Amino acid sequence: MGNIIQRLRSRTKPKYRTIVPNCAVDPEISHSHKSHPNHGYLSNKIQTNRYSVITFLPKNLFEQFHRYANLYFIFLVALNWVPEVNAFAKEITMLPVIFVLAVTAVKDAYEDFQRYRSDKKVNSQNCRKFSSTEKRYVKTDWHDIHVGDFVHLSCNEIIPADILLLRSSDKEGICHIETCNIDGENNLKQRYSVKGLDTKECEFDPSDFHNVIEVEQPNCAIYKFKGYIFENEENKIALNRDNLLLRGCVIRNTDFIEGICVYAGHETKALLNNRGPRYKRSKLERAINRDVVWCVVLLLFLCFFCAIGSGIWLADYNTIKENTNLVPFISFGDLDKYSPLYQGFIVFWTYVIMYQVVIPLPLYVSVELVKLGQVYFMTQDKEFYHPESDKRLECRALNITEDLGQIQYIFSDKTGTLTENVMEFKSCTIGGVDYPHLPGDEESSENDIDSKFSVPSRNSSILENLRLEPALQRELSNMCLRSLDSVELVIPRHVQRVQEFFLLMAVCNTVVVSHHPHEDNIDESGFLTDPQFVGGIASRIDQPLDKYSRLSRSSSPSSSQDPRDSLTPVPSEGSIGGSSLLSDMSSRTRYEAESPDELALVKAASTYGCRLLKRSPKTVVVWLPAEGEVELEILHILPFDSTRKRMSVILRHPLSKEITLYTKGADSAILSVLDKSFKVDEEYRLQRDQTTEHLTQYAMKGLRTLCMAKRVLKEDQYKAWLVDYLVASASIEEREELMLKSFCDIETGLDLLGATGIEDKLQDGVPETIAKLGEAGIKLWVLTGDKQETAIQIAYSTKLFTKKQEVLQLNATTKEEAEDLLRHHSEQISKDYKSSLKEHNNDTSTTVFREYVLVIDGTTLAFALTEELDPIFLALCQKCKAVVCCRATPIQKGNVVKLVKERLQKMTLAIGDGANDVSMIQTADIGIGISGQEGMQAVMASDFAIAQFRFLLRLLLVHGHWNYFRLSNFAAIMFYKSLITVFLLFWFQIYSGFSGSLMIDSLYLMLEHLLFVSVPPIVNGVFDKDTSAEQLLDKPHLYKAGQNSKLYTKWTFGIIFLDSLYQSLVIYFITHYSYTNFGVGLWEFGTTICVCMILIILLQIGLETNSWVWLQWLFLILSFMVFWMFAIVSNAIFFTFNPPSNPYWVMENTISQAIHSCIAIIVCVLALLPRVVIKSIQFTLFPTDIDIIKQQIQETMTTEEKQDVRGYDNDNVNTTGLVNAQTMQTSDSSNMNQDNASSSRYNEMKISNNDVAAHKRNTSSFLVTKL
Amino acid sequence: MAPGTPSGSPPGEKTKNRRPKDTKFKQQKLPAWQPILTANTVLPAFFAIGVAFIPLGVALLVTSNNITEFVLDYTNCENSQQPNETCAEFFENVNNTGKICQCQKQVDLPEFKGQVYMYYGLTNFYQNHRRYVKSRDDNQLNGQSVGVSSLNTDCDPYRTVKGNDSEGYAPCGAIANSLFNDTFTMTFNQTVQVNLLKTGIAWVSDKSVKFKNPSNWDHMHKPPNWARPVWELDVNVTSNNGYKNEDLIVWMRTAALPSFRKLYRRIDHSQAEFKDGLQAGTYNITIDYSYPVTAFQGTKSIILTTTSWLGGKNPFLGIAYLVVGSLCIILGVIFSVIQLKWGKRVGDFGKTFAKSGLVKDQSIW
Repeated sequence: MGNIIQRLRSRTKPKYRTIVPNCAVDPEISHSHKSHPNHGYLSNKIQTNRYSVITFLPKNLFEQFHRYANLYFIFLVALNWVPEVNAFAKEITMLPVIFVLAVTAVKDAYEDFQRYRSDKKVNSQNCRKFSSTEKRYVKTDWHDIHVGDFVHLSCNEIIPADILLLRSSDKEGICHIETCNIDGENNLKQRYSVKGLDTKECEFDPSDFHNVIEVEQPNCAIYKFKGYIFENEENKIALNRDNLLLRGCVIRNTDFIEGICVYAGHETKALLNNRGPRYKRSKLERAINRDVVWCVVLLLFLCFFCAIGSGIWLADYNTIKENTNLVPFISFGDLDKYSPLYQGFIVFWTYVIMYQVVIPLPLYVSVELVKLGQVYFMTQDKEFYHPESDKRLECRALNITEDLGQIQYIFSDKTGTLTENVMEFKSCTIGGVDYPHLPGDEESSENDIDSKFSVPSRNSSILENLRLEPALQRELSNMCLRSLDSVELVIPRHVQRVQEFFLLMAVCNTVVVSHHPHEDNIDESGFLTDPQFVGGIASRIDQPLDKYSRLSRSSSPSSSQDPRDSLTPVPSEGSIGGSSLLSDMSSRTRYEAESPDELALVKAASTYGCRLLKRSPKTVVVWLPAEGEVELEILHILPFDSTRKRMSVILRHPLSKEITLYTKGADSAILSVLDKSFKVDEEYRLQRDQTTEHLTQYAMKGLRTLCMAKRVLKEDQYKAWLVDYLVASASIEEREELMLKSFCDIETGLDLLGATGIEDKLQDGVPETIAKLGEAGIKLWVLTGDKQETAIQIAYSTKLFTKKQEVLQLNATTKEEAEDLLRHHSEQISKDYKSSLKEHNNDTSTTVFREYVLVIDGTTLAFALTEELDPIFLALCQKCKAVVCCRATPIQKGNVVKLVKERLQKMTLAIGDGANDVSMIQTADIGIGISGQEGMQAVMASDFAIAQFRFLLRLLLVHGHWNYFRLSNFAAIMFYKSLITVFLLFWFQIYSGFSGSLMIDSLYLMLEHLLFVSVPPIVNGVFDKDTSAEQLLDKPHLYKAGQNSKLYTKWTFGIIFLDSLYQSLVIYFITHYSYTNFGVGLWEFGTTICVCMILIILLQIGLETNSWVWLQWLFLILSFMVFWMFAIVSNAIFFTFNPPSNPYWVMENTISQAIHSCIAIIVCVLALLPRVVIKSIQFTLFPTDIDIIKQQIQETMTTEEKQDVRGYDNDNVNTTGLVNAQTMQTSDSSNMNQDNASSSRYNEMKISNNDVAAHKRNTSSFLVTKL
Repeated sequence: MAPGTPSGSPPGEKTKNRRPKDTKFKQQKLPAWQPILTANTVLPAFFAIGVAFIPLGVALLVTSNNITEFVLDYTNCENSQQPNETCAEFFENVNNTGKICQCQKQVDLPEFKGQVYMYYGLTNFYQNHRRYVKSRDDNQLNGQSVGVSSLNTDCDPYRTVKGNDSEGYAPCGAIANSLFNDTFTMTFNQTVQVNLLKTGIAWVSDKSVKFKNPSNWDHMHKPPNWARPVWELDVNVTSNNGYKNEDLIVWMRTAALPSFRKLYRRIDHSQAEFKDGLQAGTYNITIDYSYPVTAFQGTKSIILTTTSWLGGKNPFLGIAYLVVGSLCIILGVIFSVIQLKWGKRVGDFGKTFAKSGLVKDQSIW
């Protein structure tokens, strides 16, 4: 609806909307009134709920009737109103429809109510808008904001609407915002207040602002915004996207801002970008749909069969044409209707109605209910709770819970998924000298400075594990800018390099410093808090800075004492100064960085005393150990991009006015642009080679490396470049390319300073999780944008690769080369396998098959993903235990997943945490987002969100397995009870002239699947377990049942079919022949059959229940009681509501006869006998893995009982049973760290698993399919 | 949550602890019973069922055998007015529709002990046909003042008198119209009339609640096939007249199967000759044959039977119990063998096969 209105509006309205500040309008005029200049623009009220109390019923029904399955229902009901056809009472047929519609309606209503509540919560958030009557900002709810209102926001507040920034607490009019809620990027972005506006900063008063604003019509382009402010008649100021604050972003690093609302509510860019959730269909659901097709086939067959039977039966009574009275049970008003063909046709439709239950339509509704229950218990699982982030499992897709139990391939991101994405500065190499920062065993007292040095956005401190290198500190302690540029002085070149290295670490970045928690002088209700500032708001802006400078001055004397006086302990000197400063400042100093790497570097530099204090667009203030606070002029920042893979800053030295370019970036990006002296000069070359060597070492340790370089620019060099640069930045066409070229021009001839190694810590339990996933038969591929060495290193440290495996590295630069490599490796593996197979045949005991792992880089991957090569690539991948793709782009990640999903027809799962993983998360069958460091985008795109990688294990192995097992059973039961009902009705047709007659009261038939036998399967679908969580985690190979779709196969339906056919035969014919010579009435006959049927269905459900908790008992017994009582009570009341059956006292008369009970008992025994026999034979002779575990547990318990009886002390008796008991206890704590005890237990379990596997292979393949 | 708003709680508000509650229910750790079906565990159940079923089967069989039953098929009995013509043939003449064909049968009966019932049996009569079953109006039979126009339309074509929609049939519908109207009388040794009781043959609930007479019979007519209107069904006994007539009530309770029997009369055991049942001897049964069945290849019979707690004479259930009981015993024996031979502890299985297994699962090849 909204879209249509908008389209209409955009068609009829001009391209721009004109906004008049509301304070310039008479406050008496309401916003919706026509005379209000801003009328017609939506207010900030959010309404995402679709229904109101009044419109709910018609609107919801209308929507539901659009669904295909419901149309079938409606068709059946309509058919039943045709008098010739009607099989059931008209009113009764409507019961299922009403039920299904009602359940869906309740669900919709609930969801809508949730939306309404969240809307209400959002709408009632507070902010301050300018009131023209009170001449001040007043507290307002969000929904009260209208276009044209002035809004005042403080730091950390959420922006309520799209606001044009007019004023910021910052002198330059800069405001920082975090756009995480919109694009998932966690870094701060700068926005500028409208420049050129004639506002004397301090005197900006909304009531004086009468300028008319013209902006674009609302659109969904987040990165585009155009508009003008009319300063006066002829002068207009252009507005761009840097002036606009988007709804949903958060104000950071700025005390307060003020602006005017230009788009509100549903017209904001954030809401226009909203897209609905995707619908995924699970694999099991596809299998179920396949069997629904079989049901349709069966329905048609039965209907045709009966229709033809009816025609033949009727044709027998050809005498009817002569005398209608002769055959009293065929009664037609006129003889024209007597035609076997015509009656066959009519009765066909009757049968369509009668056999409608064969298509288990309640299945769809109840599957949703089951999944809802499963999701509830998944989110309630305390094992998924991560206390550090206070997050638990979040299910964003409700309909694919069972897919979790069938995963075959996992595609994982590395950074932030396997690792914490918390960077720790680990080591550095400067001028060819390695400073490894080995962890010391002594208590490093100097490190306690970090305890308060925490950054709010990145939770854990970087410096905890960093032990400062004394040598470095010594060399840094006399660092001052004077020494940096004075090569000729006594300072050795190496020391100078060290100092420059740290200066670079401190300044070459985009880290923003905030020194104090941002305070706003206006309180929530809009009153000025400090009377001192009432007069001049702006005067306090500088105040915190003053405070800061005072503090730094006061602390500087203590740190500027000559550090050389006290060499032992050396480190303490710099850090004492630091700590005294920091202890004063710690609560006020915050670094806010775009990337965690930068943060790590800045913090490491800071630990060494080289502290970044303040950054503004033009200047950067650093604190140097010897010199104190120094202000450097920033000429340019050349931001990072993925082509150059480096960033630079150009600074002007405050004293010598010398211009220096500092660059940091990927090793390849830096080493390729070094000064030519690094090729020519021996000393330089040595330094370069050593640095490269150290870089390789770092990479081997799994560290992320960055190279640091600088270049001193001569004034004329700089000026020449500046001209180019300005041309490039001013150009409109090909701006990007020109800028890139300009950047590359200046980033040449660099002087290599050194390199850093930053560790990206592994998350808890990652190796153990990967090992178990491997045992579960899940293949793990790591897709990362990181470089090859790091990726391989992480693969080793996560135990994805083991030393025994052979690593195949594919690095090709051309397509031909890639093809050769792929073919070569593929053939090699086959050859190796054949030879070892030969060996194996000769000598069975010693041969070990070699395992391979594959590493492929982005370039090669691009070739491998082409259509010609992907079959070879896939074949090779399948032969490898694990695959690592490094340097992969987001699109490539998605393509790899797509390739495996579509070409191999495998169930895929993608897990990642960043915006670069969104592509693969959306492509995979299941996307999992890690709600971690890199914003919400991955989580928003995902189906499930978890806090840690290790939770994946439990999610798949326990909940996935359970859900798959439960839904397989559930679907089977649903089909079973439909089929048995239909078959029972069918057998009766043979004895009722194929007339479409019913022996069971249609009321029972309709209520059967709604009330009598519907709840126990649902309860089982939510609660049943084939085995405990501990066992599933302990024996990952159990997961394979789901992977290979063993629990619901194409045979399952066949077995259900046969079983229900057999059972219906038993029920019908035993009853039939027992009642011969009895003078039984139609309804007593039907009642006995119905009782038997309900009883057998419930018993069957009981047989298929694996673990009984009281809920299952309760609902099973309750279901039968409900049916029983319903029959008794409804039959005790005389009513003629439901012709033809007038069930008065039928139930009472039936059950009072002994024959009824005799029939019920024998029917139950005989009907369930085959199932029990086959099940127990299967369990005894051909047990599945799960069965074996069950038996082991049972034996454990019986042994324990026996021992208790005998009074033995359990500790002294060592039996397998007890080991299992311990297993259950220890694994309960879910401690993934394998201590000695658990690893020995682990080996033991492994042996028994092998036994099981061996056993299974050797027993003949008996067709046993679990239902 | 609307997009564009933070998923976390607003700043300033302390974030709530989202740790799930550690209850047995929410953590799915409720105490559970995991039954497993092994040969070992089902064994006792099989034997128990076998041991229970076989005696029960014997008891059922004995009960069934103790019932004395006599069936007389009189479909083709001879017309006593016109020898050499069966009554079936008599009704093939369309002109004889509605007339009565009387016939007599002389039978030698064994001794019947206890209460004896007389049934009539019909075969090939589809009283369970969908249209037939529906062709009634329960409100009318309940004595509610149902106007002719509001009679159940399923009664057609026996709803209203042809050509006059204001006159209806009482009771309407095909079931009532086809009311079984043969009558039987029985004499012992040519002299002693066996008293047949007309009442006590229908369900008490039907007689007292379901079937009631209306206050008047205005605009109601007898169904076309009937000889008398419904209010003259039993003029002697008012409680058995009208809709409350038990023959009608029994007929209106449609049979489940195309071959059925319906209770016709009870033998009056207050007579001195029959106080212990029926004496063995020769009986004459006179049949007023007016119900044609040959058009649908049906047969008619008179059944005299005693009864038991199980109902009529039918050995099926007893045999079924015996068969199932024996089956369970056999299965029990088979399972014992399985248990002895293979039903060792599962752990032992592994050890037996461990050596022969391959080193690794080489499924990727």
